[in-house]
Amino acid sequence: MEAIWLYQFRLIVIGDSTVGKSCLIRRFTEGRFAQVSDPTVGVDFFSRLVEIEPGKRIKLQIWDTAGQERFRSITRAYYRNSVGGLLLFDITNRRSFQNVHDWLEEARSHVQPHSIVFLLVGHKCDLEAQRQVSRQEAEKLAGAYGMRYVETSARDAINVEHAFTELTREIFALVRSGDITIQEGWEGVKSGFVPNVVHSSEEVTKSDRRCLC
Amino acid sequence: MSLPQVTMSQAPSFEAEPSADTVVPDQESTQEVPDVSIETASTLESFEQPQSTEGTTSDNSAKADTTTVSEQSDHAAGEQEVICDQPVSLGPDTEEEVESSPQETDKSWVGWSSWGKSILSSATSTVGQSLSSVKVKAGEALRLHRTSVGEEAQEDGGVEGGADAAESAHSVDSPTSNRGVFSSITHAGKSVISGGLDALEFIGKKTMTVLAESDPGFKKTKILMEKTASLSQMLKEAKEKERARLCNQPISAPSPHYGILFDDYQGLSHLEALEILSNESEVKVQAFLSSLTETEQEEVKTELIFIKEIFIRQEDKEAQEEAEVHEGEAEVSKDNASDSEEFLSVLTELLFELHVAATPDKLNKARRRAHDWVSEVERPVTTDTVGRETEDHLNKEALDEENKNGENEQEKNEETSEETKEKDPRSVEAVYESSVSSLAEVTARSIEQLHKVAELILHGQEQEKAARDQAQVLTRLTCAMCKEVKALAKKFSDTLLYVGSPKKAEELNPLVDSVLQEGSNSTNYIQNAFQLLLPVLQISHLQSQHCHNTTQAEGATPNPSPAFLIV
Repeated sequence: MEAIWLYQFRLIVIGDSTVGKSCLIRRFTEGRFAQVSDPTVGVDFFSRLVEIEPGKRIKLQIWDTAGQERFRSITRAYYRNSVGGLLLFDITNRRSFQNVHDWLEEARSHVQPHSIVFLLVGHKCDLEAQRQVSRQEAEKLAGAYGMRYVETSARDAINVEHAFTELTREIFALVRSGDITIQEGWEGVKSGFVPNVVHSSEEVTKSDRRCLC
Repeated sequence: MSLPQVTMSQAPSFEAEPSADTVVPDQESTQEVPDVSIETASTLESFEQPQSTEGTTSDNSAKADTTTVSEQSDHAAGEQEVICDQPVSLGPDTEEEVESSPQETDKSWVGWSSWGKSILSSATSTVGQSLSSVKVKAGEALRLHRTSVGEEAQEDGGVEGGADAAESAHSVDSPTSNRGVFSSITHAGKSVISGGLDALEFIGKKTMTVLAESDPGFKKTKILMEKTASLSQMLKEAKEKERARLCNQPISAPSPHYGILFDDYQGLSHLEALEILSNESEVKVQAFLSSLTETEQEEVKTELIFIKEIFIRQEDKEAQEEAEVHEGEAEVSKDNASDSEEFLSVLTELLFELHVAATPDKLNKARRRAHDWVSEVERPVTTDTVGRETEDHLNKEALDEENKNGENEQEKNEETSEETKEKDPRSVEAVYESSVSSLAEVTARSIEQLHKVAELILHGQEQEKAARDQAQVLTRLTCAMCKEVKALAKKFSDTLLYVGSPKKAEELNPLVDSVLQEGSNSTNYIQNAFQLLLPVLQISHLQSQHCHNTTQAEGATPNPSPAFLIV
């Protein structure tokens, strides 16, 4: 049975085709790395619990989008209900880094009136020899857009947990401070259930509900 | 979800006024069901016939290109106005029919279980739930809702926009309590959710109808219409309620809940994503239509209605087949071994025919797992212990495979494997759990399949196959999925009876009923997901046909068709 969680956050993972979005998510949710991976069709779904503090678990529902241009018109439709996102580029592929700006614009224009908390992820950091984007450069870009920057590798399991928990913590802090509120008709943040406390669905959907922690 | 609401506010603007009779007064809901359905069926027929021929003819007209005779095209336009208006006002009728057909299903459920049981084996509740509290809840919910339905009906009588009025009635009354009411009905009462067929009433909004069976105090079934909730929303609420309930239960007795499992298999997410695509497509179709002149609009509408009819016909066929299946149930259950290969080949073939690059791998794997555990349970054992060991071993293998397949949280898998180690896989409880879980998984995968197909159809590449042909293939695909789910549910219930033979009937029957019930719900979900594909096919049709046609039309005067000449 499903374990108990405090909140559910919906995250969207975007970035150019072949930067390793699905591999990163699979490493995070399934703990393994597939050498061969089919291109994602439209969107795929994954979920995992993350414990951000002892006893405080967040369920992450991850929407893994297709990076291919031909699916762009479809994936656009999926942005709206996400509270956070990982924006991936491949550190060995300069082009994918240059497209970060476009991805951000794309996401921001389709997520109105909400906003998404993004984390910039430089992926495939195990391939240091082929690096085309320096860390400083990426950090600078991330800073310019108010994002954090993390370098990860799905193959060598570097920083994968860190990337997701970092983003989850950031969102959690915003939820706690009231900057992000649960809203009816918006799937970005959902309240979970605490054992032995009854929450009817009415309570859950109330937008101004305080968190119970 | 915000999307359905967005769509709704836009939908009415386009349609001919939804008439006041859209709302079914709840008093007559039960007694008059047969009459209503017969009536609507016949009206439907009488409307459908001319409409479908019109659809073909004027569609030909769109493509054709002979002499321009303005008089004739005027005449044709006039005639179309008359005929094409019919399908628009047809909407409410068909809606009623949709409502009544689940009700019939409903009745058949009542047939095999008492009132209390049927409440228990609801779409969303589980066996082992406290009956009395459910009763109270359902009673309250219905009483509450009855008032609001009454008000709704009144308002709708006076105000013209049915959907809008209902919506405002909701929001004015008490938005939150209404929602609660609905979800507790979904949870407590037996509910059938049927969506989509409002798509019949042009590409408009989807209306969800909740058919709830109430306590004996009301004696009869009530029809409740929830106009704002989408299918995934309702399932979500049901699931959340269930989780709340589980949290309050001692951890010792985790009973499987279909809704939660369905979500774990990402079925809800796929459904929601499909709804998003469906709604966006609706909006696009309407935007396209509103960019046309009135005459062009009517032409395009008939084309769209043609596709829609393929979807509706499928429903009728389904109902027929269901009746047949009920008669020949014994055979169905025995056929499974040969069926399994057949299902895969049918699935593969149909997906291939669609000309989209979708593969049935995931659905097929889920399905095979379901069949595998049943054969394991049914395999005769010589020595109990030996049998059990191999069983455990095999189970573990199956789980490993599942892990490899990895659609779920690791934690969940670990928990399951622990559970299976402790439990005898031949126990009634284990079989019941596996049954519910398998149904949830196969249903989730079926909906995923439909979602993938929708994405591939929409992905913007050159259309290789006409939308109407795709509609035909998709109806067959959906049929095959539903048939398979039905067969599985039957197989599971047989297995339950097999392992539970030493048990008393009153112990076993609720479980068997519940499995059959979840099977019936599963096919409903697949059906609803299928209906969501209609706007997707319609926009795909418009994009492939009319982008091209309109560019042509811009240069030349509208082309009259030979069809007009024939008329």
